[in-house]
Amino acid sequence: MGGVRVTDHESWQDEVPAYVASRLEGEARDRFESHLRNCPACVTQVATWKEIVSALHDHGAILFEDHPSEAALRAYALAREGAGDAGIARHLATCASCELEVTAWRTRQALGLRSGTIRRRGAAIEARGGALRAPVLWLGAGLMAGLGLAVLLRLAPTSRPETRERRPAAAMQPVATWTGPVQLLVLGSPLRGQGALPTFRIEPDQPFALIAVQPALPESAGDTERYRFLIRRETGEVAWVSELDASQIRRHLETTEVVTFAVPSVDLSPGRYEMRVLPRDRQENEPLLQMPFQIVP
Amino acid sequence: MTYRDDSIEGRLLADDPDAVGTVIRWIARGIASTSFWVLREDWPDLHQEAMARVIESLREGRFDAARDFRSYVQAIARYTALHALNLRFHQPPAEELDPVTTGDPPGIEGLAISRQFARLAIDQATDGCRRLIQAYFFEQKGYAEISAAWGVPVGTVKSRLARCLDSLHRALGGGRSGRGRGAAGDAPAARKVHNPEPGA
Repeated sequence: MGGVRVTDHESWQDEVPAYVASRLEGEARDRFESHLRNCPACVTQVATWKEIVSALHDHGAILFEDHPSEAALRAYALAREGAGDAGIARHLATCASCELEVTAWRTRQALGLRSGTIRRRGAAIEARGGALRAPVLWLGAGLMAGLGLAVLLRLAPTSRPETRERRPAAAMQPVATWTGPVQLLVLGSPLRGQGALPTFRIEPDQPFALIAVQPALPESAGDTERYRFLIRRETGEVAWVSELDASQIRRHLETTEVVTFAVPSVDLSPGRYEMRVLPRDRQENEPLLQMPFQIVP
Repeated sequence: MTYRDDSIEGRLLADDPDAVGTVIRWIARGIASTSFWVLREDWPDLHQEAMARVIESLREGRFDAARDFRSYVQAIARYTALHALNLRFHQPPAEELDPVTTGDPPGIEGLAISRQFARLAIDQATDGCRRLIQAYFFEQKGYAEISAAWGVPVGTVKSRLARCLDSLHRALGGGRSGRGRGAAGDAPAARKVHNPEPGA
């Protein structure tokens, strides 16, 4: 760097576009390359622009296109497998931002999210590239039907002594390719005389835990009254939250005797938690349900 | 604070698809940027995290409807990504290794990433720079040709294009090897190189 003068450097800067476009030839090219040997800043800039220029050369027609409208991306994201606009598919191959929009719509659809439902980080499963086609709630419903109430009532919380390292969230299996069983974690009232903390283990690759609760809904609760389902860590931090209205809760309880949620496993790292169910708009009230539990490795 | 039913905040809370789509786009633009390139594997999660923060904030009435909602949403998106970036940079260096920047052959995925990076670069360019870049690199026009078409001297075209590349390079955080620190993080270092002390 010591030999680089302001004026030298600035004059060389003007040659960067021609050099990265391979239009600088002969002696001019040799002189510029000689400058590069003493100018790390130019080396970095040239490397960046060579990569960009190469992409522009091969795919400029797409790269300079306008972005599709929000509505077009939404329609594409929510279309069935194989449907959709080929032009949008081509655009997505070059546009990380639009690809992210599509992923956001698909995740939202797969998880049945609405603006009334908050799902924290970790719930955005591998919806990219159309990989996700199996909605989680469908999975939960299917499992519920398969397991049946008898299994549900017999299911004992288990704690396994062996420890296995949990993989980071990025290594979680997408739901569409998850083939293992999903354990139903029932947070019911503890059996009489059973003082032990309900303890569960989640398979390292399992993308979601199915958590079932039995809140005692007051008969006076109006159908539209909203209830919040919260899982708090021991530290008080909210790990996961969702909301249902009273009519939805009643429908769950009438059909399966429990309300079941698919909770992203990444939100349930080993530790102690508490599930709380409470009216959203009447916070002075006692929780309908307050159930501690723990996740072990 | 409650929000008018016909406002974007009110429509977002009511799950209006157009409002949701608009906010999804704002957040995507805030997160999918070269400043947070190193986090790209986590962008979907970060997007959802930011959306959750926006909704929660509206529910609790923290957003002042007199302010610009778009700026508010994008500030939340950037805050969410910056927080993740800070966590990322506190992890061991091995976690940061990027096969594309560590000498692995590009491969199909590497080329796709290059295309996406190029797109982000173009999106960050001003209209003038974008047109110059398009003319020179994609349409393969020469300085003289652009000069004649635009009615500006050849030297101006040449130096303007060079300045575009330089400023965009800084905005890109020094390229993909800049590890996503963004313009703010890298600009001082870049200025030192480009404006050395007299006599250095």
